[in-house]
Amino acid sequence: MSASVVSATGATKRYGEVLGLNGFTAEFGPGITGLVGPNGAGKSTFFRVLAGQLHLDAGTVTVLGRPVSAPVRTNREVGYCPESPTLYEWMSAEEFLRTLLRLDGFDATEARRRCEDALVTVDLLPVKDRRLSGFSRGMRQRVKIAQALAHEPSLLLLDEPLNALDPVSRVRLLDLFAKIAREGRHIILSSHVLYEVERLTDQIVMVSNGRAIAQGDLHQIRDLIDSRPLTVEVTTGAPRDLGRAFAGWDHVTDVSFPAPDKVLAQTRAPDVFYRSLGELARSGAIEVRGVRGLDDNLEAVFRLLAG
Amino acid sequence: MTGQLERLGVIAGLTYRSNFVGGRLWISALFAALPPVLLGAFLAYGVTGSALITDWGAIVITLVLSVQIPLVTLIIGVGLFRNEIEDDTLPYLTLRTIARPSIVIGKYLGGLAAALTFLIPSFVVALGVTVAGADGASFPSGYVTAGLAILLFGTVAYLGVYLLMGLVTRSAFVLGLVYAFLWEFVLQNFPGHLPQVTVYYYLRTLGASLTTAGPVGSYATTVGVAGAVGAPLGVAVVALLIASLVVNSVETAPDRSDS
Repeated sequence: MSASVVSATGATKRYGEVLGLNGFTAEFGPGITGLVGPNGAGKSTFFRVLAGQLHLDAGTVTVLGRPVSAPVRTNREVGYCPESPTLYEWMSAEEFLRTLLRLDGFDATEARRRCEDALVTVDLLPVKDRRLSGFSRGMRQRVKIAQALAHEPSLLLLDEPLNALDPVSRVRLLDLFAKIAREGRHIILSSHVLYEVERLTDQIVMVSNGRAIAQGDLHQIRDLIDSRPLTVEVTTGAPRDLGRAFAGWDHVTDVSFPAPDKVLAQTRAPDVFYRSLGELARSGAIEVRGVRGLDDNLEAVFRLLAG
Repeated sequence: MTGQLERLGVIAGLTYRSNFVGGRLWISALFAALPPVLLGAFLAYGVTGSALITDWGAIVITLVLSVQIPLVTLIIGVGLFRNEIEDDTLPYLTLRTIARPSIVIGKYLGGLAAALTFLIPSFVVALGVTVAGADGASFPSGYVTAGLAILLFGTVAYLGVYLLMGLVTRSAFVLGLVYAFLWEFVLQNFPGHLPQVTVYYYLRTLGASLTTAGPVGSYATTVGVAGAVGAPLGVAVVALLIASLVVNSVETAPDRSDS
């Protein structure tokens, strides 16, 4: 087992009466980890804590083995890509990156070299002299990633980097993240676009209401649902008969009819449910046209665990 | 790798340039244009010689000191941190390996340079117009030096105050207007020692300590020249010290909806 890149224990952050983080406890390992949760779950708050921009009210957080209470030291090894799309609009991409690199202590020559490398990585070198005010959302996202990358940190914090991007930009960024990870950097990526996180990594931490509600391998998290109610949508020509049959099964806890040809059943025992439904369909007593497990994707897992 | 001083210079340069874009540029330029335009108008209406020199002094006191410096420094000073906080770009600076007090000092110096870029040419052009219309009449001893000292020390003090306001409150612009035109303007007219709680009082004292002539030199004061120099500088230093403490503990929280 590799050492944690980021470790949080009971991390709590209040904004007045509102809890941004509520005893958040999680371990983030090497490579890419997805921080998944709905808007307002506490993802950005956690990132800002990691980046030394917010102070915890309680609990501890370590980044690369060091407490985040020493942000200037930590910042050398952390690259942070905030969610906000605003940049210094009057600057060019090159000026923006070079300025930030100078603030990290690199001399003019080294700043220029690192700036060019970062722009090449995010594929923005051809437009390096264009004003940022004219950049699209996707280009802005890549500039933000470049500034997070340029000082070659060990850990990248990417806050909703796929938010509001067109599909082509999303694919390009996902490829970029995979490339960065292959170069040996660790990435923590937040998103509520769950299927895209799923495309990038199996390692996830799920957050809701400021708490980590599940973490680990996505498949392990999916296993958690085996012992919990699962919702299955069945398409049939005889919804009343099928509903009556479901009502007679002990493991079915709820039956509803969302459409004239559909029945929703919630079961505590998915394996038994599918076996029984198969037998019912094979017997020819009730026509079954289709079966769909509504919870059989990451979004449903999240909804289930967030309960 | 470069030191904190060089990084401070980068912040100052970044801040200086940021003041020459958008609406702030045009508003500051408008205020900068007022004194030369007004003196040009006087000249056009036939005011010349020593009368024009006296009018130049009156403009230094009633327009430059009371309106131009407070407003130009308000526009620039309030925006030094407030714009970054509201645009959520401040983390790009606070994430870097630059000490946070250096960000305060760098921003202040960049803002000071920007303010003086508007104010000094305005002063020089207004002076040029006056010299052109003076018809050989000479300026009283210390008259120009006093005007320039008021300009420099006023900019130093007011900019520090407005930087601090922009850092600590969202309503900094309104608060700054209240400070400039209620606190500074109203209190200076009160009897007794009350005017001494205004920066204006010390700037007028500074002017009066450098010349006794005209509107610039005529001011009843009980403070010596050391106090006149020390008070505006002290205001700026205290404002920057408080701002450094605030920035050291400032949190750049995400929008609540994104948290």
